[in-house]
Amino acid sequence: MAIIDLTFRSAALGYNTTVTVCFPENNGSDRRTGKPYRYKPGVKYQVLWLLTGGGGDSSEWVRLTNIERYAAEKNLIVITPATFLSLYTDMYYGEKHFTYLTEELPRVMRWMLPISDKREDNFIAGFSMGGYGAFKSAFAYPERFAAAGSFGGALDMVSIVKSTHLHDGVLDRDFLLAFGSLENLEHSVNDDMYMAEKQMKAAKDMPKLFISVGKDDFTYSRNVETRDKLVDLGYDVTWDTGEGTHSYEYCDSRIRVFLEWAGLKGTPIYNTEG
Amino acid sequence: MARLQIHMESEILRFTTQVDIAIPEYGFAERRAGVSPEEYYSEKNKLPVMFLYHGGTGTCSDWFRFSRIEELSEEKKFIVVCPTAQNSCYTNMAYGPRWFDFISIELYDMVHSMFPASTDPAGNFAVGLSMGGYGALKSALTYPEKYGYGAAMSSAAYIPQEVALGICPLPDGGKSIFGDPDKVLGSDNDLFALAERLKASGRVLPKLYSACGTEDFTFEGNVKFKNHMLDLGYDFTWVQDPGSHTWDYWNDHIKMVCDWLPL
Repeated sequence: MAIIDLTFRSAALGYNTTVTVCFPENNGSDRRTGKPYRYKPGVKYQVLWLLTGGGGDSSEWVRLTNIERYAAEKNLIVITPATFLSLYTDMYYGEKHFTYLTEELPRVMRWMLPISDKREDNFIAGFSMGGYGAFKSAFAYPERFAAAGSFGGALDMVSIVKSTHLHDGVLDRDFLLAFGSLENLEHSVNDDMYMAEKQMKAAKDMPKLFISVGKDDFTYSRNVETRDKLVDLGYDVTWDTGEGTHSYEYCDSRIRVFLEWAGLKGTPIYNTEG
Repeated sequence: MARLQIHMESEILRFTTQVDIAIPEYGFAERRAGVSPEEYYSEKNKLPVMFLYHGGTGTCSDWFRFSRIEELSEEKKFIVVCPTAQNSCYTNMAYGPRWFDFISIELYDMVHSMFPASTDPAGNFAVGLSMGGYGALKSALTYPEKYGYGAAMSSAAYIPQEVALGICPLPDGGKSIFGDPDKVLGSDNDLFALAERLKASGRVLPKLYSACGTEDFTFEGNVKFKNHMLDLGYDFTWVQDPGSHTWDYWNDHIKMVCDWLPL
């Protein structure tokens, strides 16, 4: 497995940002086990867009879990952007992180890297705030993703804000900077449950969902409620849990289950035009 | 400007190595020229590639840290690929890794498979300084069907000749790299012989460029190489000017190389 630390100047963000990419490279053990040479022009790979928790930079998933190894097993390219404190949002006071994530990043990455742009080859998942980011992306752009996964996700943002981050009508700082106000958040693209309902009612073909949370994760009961709401809306939801807390350690223990569930091809896609 | 720092295992080297790459992004120039982001970032947009080699004691990040190459590549819209070659002279070492095969076969294939790089030899350049200059000339003379252009600055083109004469300044006289000094001349590591054989073969020839400062310790060897190549009838651009074996020289001359290349 190989790893790329990629820095580029994002127009949406207005500054240089980092992206960490794992890709399966040609190596001796592959060849000794009879696998074909993979460096052919035109080869493509399935891709997992993998989002960090709040405050994260692009390095967290690869440093704190074994995702690089798991991805290599599946011949999958994994792309982990940075989010810092943006809540994957086009911030009210700040940069356009959702535009970055859903428009600019895929456009640039699809050109720079041999990743498939077909829905069946694109998956998105994340930890904590990244779970919210992943589901939000999947609800907003269902035609782009075959499946989405959330690990200890901050799902149902309006409920989270109303119960914990609203005092005297004013949002706590990170949420204020991201959303501006509760009114702005509700019924917007950032209101994940609103989007989930709206898109399902519009009879869109929605991605299948994987909701995973550790038994001792403080977000456990909210994840149960969100699961139930999504099932009631008609979503194909797979529930997953295990020992663990709100941590990358938990993510590491469950991400392989997610990869199996996602139904990956497991091989590079050799293009006939190569 | 996107900068990619890669750690990757090589089947040929049998260990993990580092490669630094720069890929130009859509920017002001494109917008002014009326190109849309969709057009720029389309699968059809393949860019020329400069395989850019560091010198002795250097590493894959040298060119990015010590020269303006990233800016030049952004301006002229080409991909830069800087491998790490340690002190190998970009050679399949007699007692050591097969650096030349890694760089000219596996890395070359990886770049064309993974990134939006042109596969046209007219858009693939081998460029380097000092030991890397020797490597660049060797790449172009060994695989002219892959590299249409080869350019060297303060090149070590004459090192195999020095090894044969027993005056090579490398530690161990260059033995671990080139092997038996009595067998170096005439081998595929001998650029003079390589150029003769390529000319005689009838295969396509690369366009070549060599620049050297008159105070540079490689100057005499480079003049000999230049004369040999002009005698053979190669399209060989020679530049000699005041300067020596310094990053100031290479930083100035990489811009001149970019002006010479079809960019």
